[in-house]
Amino acid sequence: MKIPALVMASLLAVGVSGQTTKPVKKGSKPVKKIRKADSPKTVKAEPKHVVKKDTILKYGGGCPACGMG
Amino acid sequence: MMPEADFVSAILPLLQNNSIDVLEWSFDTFYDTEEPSWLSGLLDFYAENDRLIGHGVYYSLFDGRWNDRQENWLRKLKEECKRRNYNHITEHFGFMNTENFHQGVPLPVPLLPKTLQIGKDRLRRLQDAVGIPVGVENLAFSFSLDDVREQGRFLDMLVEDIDGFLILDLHNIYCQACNFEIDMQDIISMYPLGKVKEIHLSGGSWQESAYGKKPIRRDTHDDRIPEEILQTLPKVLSQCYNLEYIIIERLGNTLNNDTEKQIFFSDFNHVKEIIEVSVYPNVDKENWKRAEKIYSEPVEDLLLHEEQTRLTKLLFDENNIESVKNEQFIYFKPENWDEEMIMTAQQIIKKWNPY
Repeated sequence: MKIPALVMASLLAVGVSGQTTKPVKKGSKPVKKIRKADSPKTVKAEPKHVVKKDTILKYGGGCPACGMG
Repeated sequence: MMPEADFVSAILPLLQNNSIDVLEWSFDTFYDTEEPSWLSGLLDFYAENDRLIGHGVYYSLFDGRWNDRQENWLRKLKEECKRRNYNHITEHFGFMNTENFHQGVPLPVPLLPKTLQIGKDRLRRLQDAVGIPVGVENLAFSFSLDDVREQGRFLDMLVEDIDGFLILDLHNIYCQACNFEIDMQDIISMYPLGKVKEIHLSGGSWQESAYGKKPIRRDTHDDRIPEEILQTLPKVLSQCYNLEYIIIERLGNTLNNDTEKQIFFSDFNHVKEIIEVSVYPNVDKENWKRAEKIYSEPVEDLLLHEEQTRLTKLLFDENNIESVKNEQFIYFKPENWDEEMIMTAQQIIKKWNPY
């Protein structure tokens, strides 16, 4: 199953340019200001070190749905 | 499929050599958002070739109350399914009931007649909306070993009426195995493996124990697939005789350097090799039997809803563990919950769920 050249070209453009893919909101709903959560301390593997600060990713930035993210 | 540029950049070589047979798309993460044209092009192409599967995040199968948000979610899903051809649609086990649902996190519910009835009702509504097979994924988070032990049976009963199927997320099982010190295969054997049509694979991270005990495993989708999972995979493949899809999950913003990309490719190729040499049981697959639409009022339980709301708030407010354990509920039994997991729930809920 070969991806059409036109689709591939657009993917290459995104990949190469590092184009930001921050989604654009369709509507202009007022955004409720939210308090950013403190980061739980997480470590990846031994030797222990902090992996990353938790970030609130609103759209398309992650999947909380497995329940252990 | 993730919409970040880093992710697209990382998987380009795989797309170029046609190695990705199927894409899974979390359609509801873009419900209120304009898709970039490259993303639409790619998803449309996979859909036109019967290679696109849909994975919902925000429906919430076990909210005690039926609300407008769920009604809207189904309406938008109907539109999405008219626009694109999905092979099937899946959702997650658990409830998510916050005002700002986009930042909710699913928590488990106990297996009781009422919770099962609510879950079946929500799943039936989802099934009626889409007209294609619907499945449910196992949840990584569990408050107690009891949650772990009953989830397979719960999921089995849940999908019964709609002839639904399961996603078996092996990293979610791995989290439970690590956090409750139980063998992965023991947990897997509690699932109705004949109903598994899709497997999820991913990596995660360790969170330091608040009690100075062993670290807690979390399903953060930001690292390599653990070796234990890859070792377990061949046996699981031989047991899941209705399996059709294997999806590797990785957060889009975590493939931002060459080392991470190499790890991802290595995982991808390793999984492909395992699939190629796997022996699948020769079983005739039964055709999906679509349940007939039946109009009925949504099943609700306001006491369950009140308890879900109170529990979510209680966890968000980071009450001390003793006070969470001493809180009086009818549906939930926090007195039996693992202290470490209560604390983990507090951290996860704070991460995704600011009021």
